[in-house]
Amino acid sequence: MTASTALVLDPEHRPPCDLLDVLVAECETVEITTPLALLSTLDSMTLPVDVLLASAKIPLETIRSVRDTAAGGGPAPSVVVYTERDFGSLERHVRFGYDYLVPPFLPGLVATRLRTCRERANLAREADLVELSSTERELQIGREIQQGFLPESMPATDGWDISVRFHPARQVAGDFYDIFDLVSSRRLALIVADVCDKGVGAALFMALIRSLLRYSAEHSGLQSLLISHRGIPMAGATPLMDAVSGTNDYLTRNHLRQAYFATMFFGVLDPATGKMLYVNGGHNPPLLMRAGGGAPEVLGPTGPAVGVLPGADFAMRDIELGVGDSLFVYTDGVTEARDISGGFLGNARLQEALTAPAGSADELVGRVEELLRGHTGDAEQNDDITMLAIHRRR
Amino acid sequence: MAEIIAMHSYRGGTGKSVIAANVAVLMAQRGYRVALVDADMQSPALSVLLTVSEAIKCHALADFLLGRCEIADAVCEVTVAGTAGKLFLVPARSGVTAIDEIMMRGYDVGLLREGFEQLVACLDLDLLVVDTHAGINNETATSVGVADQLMIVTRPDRLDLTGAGESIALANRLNCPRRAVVVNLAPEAEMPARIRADVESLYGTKITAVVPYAPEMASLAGERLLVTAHPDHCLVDQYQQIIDAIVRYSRNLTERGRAG
Repeated sequence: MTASTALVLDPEHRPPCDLLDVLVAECETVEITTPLALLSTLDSMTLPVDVLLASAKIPLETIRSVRDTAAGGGPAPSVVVYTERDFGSLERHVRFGYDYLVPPFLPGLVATRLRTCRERANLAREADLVELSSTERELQIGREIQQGFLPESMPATDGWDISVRFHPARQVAGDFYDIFDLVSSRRLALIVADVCDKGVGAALFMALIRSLLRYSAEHSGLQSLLISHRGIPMAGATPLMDAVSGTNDYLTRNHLRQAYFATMFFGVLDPATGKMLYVNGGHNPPLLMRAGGGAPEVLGPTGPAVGVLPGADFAMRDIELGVGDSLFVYTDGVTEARDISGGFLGNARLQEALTAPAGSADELVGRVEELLRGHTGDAEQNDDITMLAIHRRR
Repeated sequence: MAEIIAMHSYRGGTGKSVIAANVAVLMAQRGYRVALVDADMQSPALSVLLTVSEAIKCHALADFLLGRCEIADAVCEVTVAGTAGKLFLVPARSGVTAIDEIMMRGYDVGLLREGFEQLVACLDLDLLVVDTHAGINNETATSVGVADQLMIVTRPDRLDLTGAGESIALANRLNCPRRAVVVNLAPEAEMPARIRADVESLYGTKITAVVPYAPEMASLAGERLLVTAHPDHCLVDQYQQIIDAIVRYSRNLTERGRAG
């Protein structure tokens, strides 16, 4: 036995008898059809087909189309074109890469040709699998490396809860978040960012932007107050502004042609007082929830997305979180999550869900996750989703 | 609320730190709670002038800026006899390592302001005097930016006076409302009218005090302060004159009324 299922495509429904005899002897199932009758035959046919034998009279495009249909979602069958007299008609099929059979259709000859076809098909299938698994493996490595660009754990900050959810839409993401100490551990940096686009390109820029932000902030030393026109800064202001403006300058100076940019919220929290300085570079406005509940305060943009405008001006604002207050920072994957018919979750529903005060950061992100689950149902996630919440316990 | 005084000289060697130390002791003797912050990390002087021993000085301003301690941990109390007032000192650094680190890594300049605010609160201060390195640098700018009064110490010579424009421009940019000018190491207590007019014109304000050169000061060789070694010396009258001006222009000191 050389093939399990053979489909013979013959315009007159009359393949050569000696060829048919060998096929019946060599295959478990042999179906004969004409191009016109193919649709009705398909319903009763065993799919996928292992080998497709087609008369050389049938146009190349038709054979190709039948081959794809006969694959039944699996690998395409091997194609062998036959003719009894008009050998010149084989030319175009052979040039296209199909195998061929010509008389005499001797059992040994046909069986060998079918076996060769089968082996070639198997090899092609295995090559496909190897290629696929290699790509998968590369993506997996990319994902693992990208995980290393996210903080391993949340810093323990007395009197504060921090909770994060990170759900990439694909194996690698353009979203990221970061949390780290600043100003000799007197401040906490909180970043949520969304690099435009998705997949590998966004992931590469995520790695760059995250590194630029963190390095600039952590190595922001003496700001020369003599050339500054901002007056005497508060602690944390210098690393914040250096990181955002420095990253914007770097991206617009070196990568403007690649047109990658990021929206971001970068906050610097003083855990002792609850005061937070922040820059919102074109990012979805974070929501500040007060202990007493009510409509959350919206922290709108203070500048453009980072990496778009050379020399862009980013303003710094400040808020104060009292005991029981929470801040919810997220990417557009939350508000633009789609239900099964394509409708967005939207800002209004998110804000409505955050009118009641939160008991903890974890409860807060859990509440939004629940809202998202209820909205999206079985719909496919089409964008990265990142959520970060902080809550002041005391 | 405490009155914050920033000490500044455009050039080194004007006697700025010596004036700061003497004035601080006299203020404490008047009954005020006073802190001196030595923000001159390159060439600190105050812990030597106030003879604070290395044993007491376990932490300093540089350690606070590098995140090694809180500002309250860097405070030493200096004994001032016979007064209800208090004098505290925050030395610039506790060793040479800190200055190397600060020069290499830098620090968040916002911490200076934060440290001053915390000192005022935790020591319940009436007066905070910040001594800075000569010239214009970040510590000077921060001190001037948060100060209620800027005290410029200058010698009556062209070298010092050439920096007047820059010092005044800094004070203007940082909105420091009150500037005082002390002319130190003058040849005589009475300055020639021409030089006095020059100084007042350059700084845009009347001279607060003229402190003449005194051999007695030189002979102390930094071992003791003049106000404690020679409390009746005529220079002490000039220091008192500086204090009177500080109190007169202060928005905070007169209200507290701690003078005793």
